[in-house]
Parts: sequence; structure tokens; C-alpha cells
Amino acid sequence: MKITRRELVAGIPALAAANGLGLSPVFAQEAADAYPSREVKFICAFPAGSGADVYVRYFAERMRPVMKRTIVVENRAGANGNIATTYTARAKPDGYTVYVHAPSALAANMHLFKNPPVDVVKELQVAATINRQPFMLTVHADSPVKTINELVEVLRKKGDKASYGTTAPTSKVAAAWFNKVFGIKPVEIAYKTAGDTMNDMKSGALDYCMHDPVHAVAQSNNGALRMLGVTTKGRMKALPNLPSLHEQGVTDLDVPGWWAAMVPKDTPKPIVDKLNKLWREVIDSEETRQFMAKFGADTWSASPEEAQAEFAKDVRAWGDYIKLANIEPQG
Amino acid sequence: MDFNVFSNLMTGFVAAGTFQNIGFAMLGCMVGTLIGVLPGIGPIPTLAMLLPITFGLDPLSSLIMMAGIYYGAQYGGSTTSILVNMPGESSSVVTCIDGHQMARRGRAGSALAIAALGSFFAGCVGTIFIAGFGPPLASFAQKFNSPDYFSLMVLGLVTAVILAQGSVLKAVTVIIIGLLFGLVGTDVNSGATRYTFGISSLWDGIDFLPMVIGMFGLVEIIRNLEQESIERNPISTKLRDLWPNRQELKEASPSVLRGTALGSLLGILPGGGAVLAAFAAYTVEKKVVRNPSFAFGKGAIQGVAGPEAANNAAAQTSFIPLLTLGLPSNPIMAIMMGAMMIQGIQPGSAVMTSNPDLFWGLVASMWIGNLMLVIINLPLIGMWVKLLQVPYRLLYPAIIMFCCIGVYSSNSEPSQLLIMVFFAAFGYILMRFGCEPAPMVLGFILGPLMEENLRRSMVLSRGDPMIFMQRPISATLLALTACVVLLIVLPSFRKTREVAFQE
Repeated sequence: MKITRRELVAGIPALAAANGLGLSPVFAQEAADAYPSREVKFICAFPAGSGADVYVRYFAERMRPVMKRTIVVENRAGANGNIATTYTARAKPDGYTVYVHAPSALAANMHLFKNPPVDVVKELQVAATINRQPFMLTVHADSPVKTINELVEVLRKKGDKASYGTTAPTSKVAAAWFNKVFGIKPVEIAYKTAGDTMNDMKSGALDYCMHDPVHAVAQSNNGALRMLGVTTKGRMKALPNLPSLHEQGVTDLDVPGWWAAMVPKDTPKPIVDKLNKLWREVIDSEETRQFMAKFGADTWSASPEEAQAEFAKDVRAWGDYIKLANIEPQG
Repeated sequence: MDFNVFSNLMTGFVAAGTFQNIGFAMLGCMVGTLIGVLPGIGPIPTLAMLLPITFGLDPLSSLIMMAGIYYGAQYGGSTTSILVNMPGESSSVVTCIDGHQMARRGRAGSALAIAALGSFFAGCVGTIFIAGFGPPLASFAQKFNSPDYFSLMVLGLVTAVILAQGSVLKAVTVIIIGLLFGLVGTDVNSGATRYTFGISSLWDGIDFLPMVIGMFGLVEIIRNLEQESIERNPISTKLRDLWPNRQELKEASPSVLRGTALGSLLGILPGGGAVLAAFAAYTVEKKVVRNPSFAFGKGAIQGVAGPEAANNAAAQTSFIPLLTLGLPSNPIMAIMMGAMMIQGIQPGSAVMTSNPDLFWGLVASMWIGNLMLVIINLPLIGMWVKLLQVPYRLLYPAIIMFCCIGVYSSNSEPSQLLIMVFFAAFGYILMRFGCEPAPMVLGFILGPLMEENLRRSMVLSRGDPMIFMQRPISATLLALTACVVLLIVLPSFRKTREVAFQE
């Protein structure tokens, strides 16, 4: 299609109105009814082939029949997700660029960096929530420690000779909280991936780890790890027999990760609502519940408003978290 | 190895030998070879894109296809290394050194055939290795702790000095430069960003792909453009000339054996197993082979046979940690793990008992896949070699285009192309100073792993460096390193080394 200069000029007032004042309700509703009328892009903040990428591609595949459109996954990896976040925030707010990522991680980024490139709550809108997932406190399966109380006893006895492993900001925060509540001071050893911790856990160099659920569930089924508790305040439906750390004396510890589909903030409300409805068809299905349960996560569906409020709450909470875990913001 | 292994392997061949599964193995190998040959487009994005397609297949078929893509790409990567000096992945960097020199003197067909046959042999041995020694090998790999990894990396870097031609000083310099490039990005321990100059695309470090494409591929093109009249060996595409001659086969066979043994062992270690294997095999060949017909770096066939066998053996045995411990040892294994989990299979020791058909079927399919690669590729050698006859004015722009597409598509970031251009300029400067790029790449890959393990060990020991001597594995590796250093420093050895290079 060829666009003449005249058409471009004529289009400016309409665009300005759409951006500045929002589309007129009737017009926007019509746009939402037709949505999606073409290919939709899912943005993934991790490189192709990473665990998160598998996740995003799974949902792209499940959303395809629901949206009845081609869904293309675009990997915009790098800078701790900041590149994908900036890209989405600057995309056209029409619902065709959907960022499938963890708002909890975006909230953390607001404090991990001195100058976050995007104010996430102001520039992104959560259209649909996907899941809630905890981190797990784990010990090696050969360890005699069976409960949190026993672990604390061991850690107290070893004093500063005790060590623990962390793999991500959430893992650092949950571990720091745990140590603070019991007044213990084991030494932190940072790892890039959960897999790297395994040999040091087996040799007894690490007394405990705060692992992501994918790794923790897989390795506990494999007989290599024992999970002692989850970092969400309540138990997970996927793992009803695994008590929360809160129940076991780490009072009020509640640092869940959660995943969501996000769009640029100016996306018209009817399109956000339509996306929410479409995502719920997939999220509320039994198949997705079972898929999530394998990774130790619960599906979670919420309204865009509820989710956005949770997002804002997380951003505030992370301000305290990084102080607790003694993380220096970077620039 | 007990007798059961054979009955188990039979189970596997029955499961993998169905019409459907052989078809998927074939499809995987072909797609893999194709993306391996296209410079810049690697197996990782391809597998990630194909992942959703596998949801609908049965688990064994999908794993067979993905595994086929993996070693197909390994093989295809060697093809571009030999023909146009462009390594598609880290493990085929070494193949460039002598493989491309062979192509320059008209023995491209022979180099490709040796790479294919060497890889096939290594693949067969690797398969038996997994079947017979998988579980005990995995438990040995579990004994490697941070200090042991550190010592292994030190050994790897010190031996890299032997890898380079010319002065030791230059080799050490480029390795250190490689280490420094490896430091770029976010530090794991403190989260601090290092040498990023506020550029956000450097926060995760420099990507491997734009670096090697720039340093090897583009530099090669610049070098060829510099030579005013390019003398090109008349390339014969007669089958007789494509085939390795008796002398070449005789020289290559022991190298394949050594490479296979080394690769099978190093492949089980997490991290750069296959890369380390290829580099180590090259070093060993250089040390062991007394009178090669062509000097190393000038087109020695041993320099192709050893590393090619090693990286294929390692590619095969890198399945061991995934299948027996549920730990992926590289990004490709991580995708395989994702595929297994989506299919409802928990990777790990349980696979062998709960899904014996799947486990043994996958092992058997590796052998089938390797055989298929030889069948697909040997007849194609003539075609690949013909590619060299394409006039440079057409070939070079096409290569540059594919490089740009490959580098850009890895994460849709234009900055990656700038990094590629930077390394092309940097590689050109290195070439002008007579420095080899291969040791620098090894420093770049091993540097971050070495640093990570060094710091982790020191925190674990609360600052006591004796931790590296107290652990037997680490102490042994450091002792070996000391021997290598002595060899390099001792005057008598240096003399022979220099003499060797003057040939």
C-alpha cells in the first residue's frame, strides 16, 4: 500500500486524538471487537532457548487457537530485561505487542538499577496474569536436615562457617529475610544458574539454597534435593504438602514471582479487557493448570486493575527488599 | 559395562527404528546441516523456534528430531569453518585453523570427508559411552566442585599458549585480551556492571556469535580482498580428488582416536565441554604428532581430524548430565530439557527406569543420526566444494549478508551488528600484528567461568587459597598445569617449538 503525504497529514489529527484523549468509546469498542485482526507479537526478555523462552513459546502456541492469529515470539534479551521492557513501553499501544514476562522481576529492576529506563507501572499495563510461583528453600537430599528448625539449629552451630547459595535477586531477598528472622549469619555464595549449585550442595559446601521452582521441583523429583518450604505466604495448590516458610516461623515472608501479559500503558481499555478475556481461556484451562503444576506454580487469573495494583505494590516492596538483601543499585 | 547394555540398546533400536522416528532423525539432520552451513544461524534459535512444533509429536520423535538438529549443526558448522573460515559455533573455531588452510591448498574435499568420517567414528564411540558408562561418568562429574573447575580452566588456558603459532609472548597477550573481553557485563557476585560504559546492550556481556563472525569470517574476507590477484587452486570436483588419499587417511586415523577419547571425557563436564574438548584435542595433536606432512597451521590434517572427532564425541556425551542428573550442560541441552518437561517427562535418573524406551531410543537414535549425517553429507561434499568456485564478488556479499542476518536474528538487536564490526576491525589489527585469534576466543569463553569459580572457591574457603591444593582433583590439575608451564619455559623445549614453526 502506498501512503501519500496528503493521507499522512490528514491522519495526524486522528492519531493525536487517539494518543492524547483516548479513542472515543464507540470507536475503541469496535476496534476491540475486531481485535486481533492481524499477527500478534509476544516479546520475550530472555534469549531463545532459555527456560523463560520455553514458557513464552508454550503460551504463544496455546494462545494461537484462541486469538485465531499467528503469534510471533520475538526475543529481545539483555540488560536484565530492560531492553525488552523499553521496547514494549515504546511500542504502538494497539494490543499487537504483548510482553510476556514477570512483573515481579520488573518491579525488582526498578530498584536494582540507579536509573531504570522505564517507570514500569506508569508505562506498562498488565492485561492478564498468568501464574504465581514461589522460590523454594532446599537442602541436599543426603542431608540429615528434615525441617526448618533442624536447619536453623545446624546454621546456628556452624555460625559464620555456614554457607548458602543464591541464584537471582528474588532468591537473595528470600534468603536474607530467612537469615534475619533467625538472627543467623551464614555466608552467601552467588551462582549464575541453579544447576551450578548442585555439586557444591552435594559436597556439603552449601548448607542450603534458595532455588527457583523449576529447578527445585525437578531435582526433588529426581531425588537430589529436599524442599523445606516455599517463599509465598500460603502454600501452593500445586504442592499442597509443602509448607510455607511463613508457617514455619519466617513470619510474613511473602516474595512470590508472578508472570503476566503486559501492553503499553496507552492501549485502549476495551482491547486490554479483550486480551484479559482471551488469556483467561488459556490460563483457566485444566491443561495449563497441569503444565504449571509441573513447574511448581499455580495458575492465577485476575482483572487488569487488580493485577496493576499488585504490580505497584511489588515495586514499593522491592525498595525495602534490596535494602534487606544489601544489594547495591547499579547504573 | 555389563551385558544388559546390549539388550537395552536393542530396546532402543526397536524404539528408534520405526519408520516415523527414522524420518524425524533424517529431517533433524537435514535441517541441522542446513543451519550449520549458513554462517551465523546457529542451532539454539532454530531449536527454540521449532520447539512448539514438537508439542504435538510423541516425546521420542520430538527428542530425536531435536538431537538430529544439534549434531547436524555441529557437522554443518565444520563445513563453513573449512570452506570459508567461518566457525558457526564455539566448538568449530579450531577447525578453521588447519581446515581452511587445507581448503586453500585445494584439499577442501578431503578435509570435509575426514571431518565427516572422524565425527561419525566419534559419534559411534560416544553412543556406546553413554550406553555403557553414563551413570558412573555422571557421578564422577558431580565430584567437580568450584576449585576443581577453576584448576581445569587454568590448565585449559595455559595449554592454549601451545595452540598459537609464533611467539609465546603474543599468545599470552591475546589470551589476556580474551579474558578481559570476557569480563564485560554484570558481575554475578556483586551485580556490578563492568566495562559497559553505560551501554545497556553490554550488560549481559559480549555475545559469542558477533565476536567470532567478526574475528574469523569478516577478517578472512578482508584479507582476501587485500591480495590483489588471488591465486586460486584449480578445484577439481572429481570424486577421486575429493576423497582423502591413503597418506591422509593414515595420518588422520590416530588423531581421530585421540580426539574421540578426549572428547568423550570432557563432554560430560558442564560448561564449555565441547569447546574445551576441541581446543584440547588440537593441543594434544600438536604435541604428539612428530612429522606431519604439513605443519600445524598450514593445513595439517591431524588438526582437523582430532578436534572434529573431539567435538562430536563431546556433543554426544554432553547428553549424559541431562539424561542421568537432569542438569543441562549447555543451552542446547537446556532446550532439550524444556522439551522433555513440556512432554511431561522429568529429566534425570528416573528417565532410565520410568521411560526406558525413551532413554534407550534416544541413545540409539544418536547412532542412527550420525550414520545419516555421513550418508547425507558425503555425496554433498562435491557440492560444497563447488561453492568455492563461485566468484568472490558474489560469494563474499552473500556471506556478509548471511552473517548479518544470523547475528541480528539472535536477539533482534542492531547493536550486535556494531559489535560484529568492532571485532572485525579488532581481528584485522591482530592479524596485522601476526597474532592468532583462536587463543583469544578460548580466553574469552573460559575467562568468565574461571573467574566465577575462583571467586566462589575463595568465598567458600573464606579466603584461604590452600583450597586449590587440598582437593585432589584440583591439585592434580594444577600439577599438570605446572608441567605445561615448565615445558613452555624450558629453553630446550622452546627451541624445538620454534624450529617446528619454521618449517
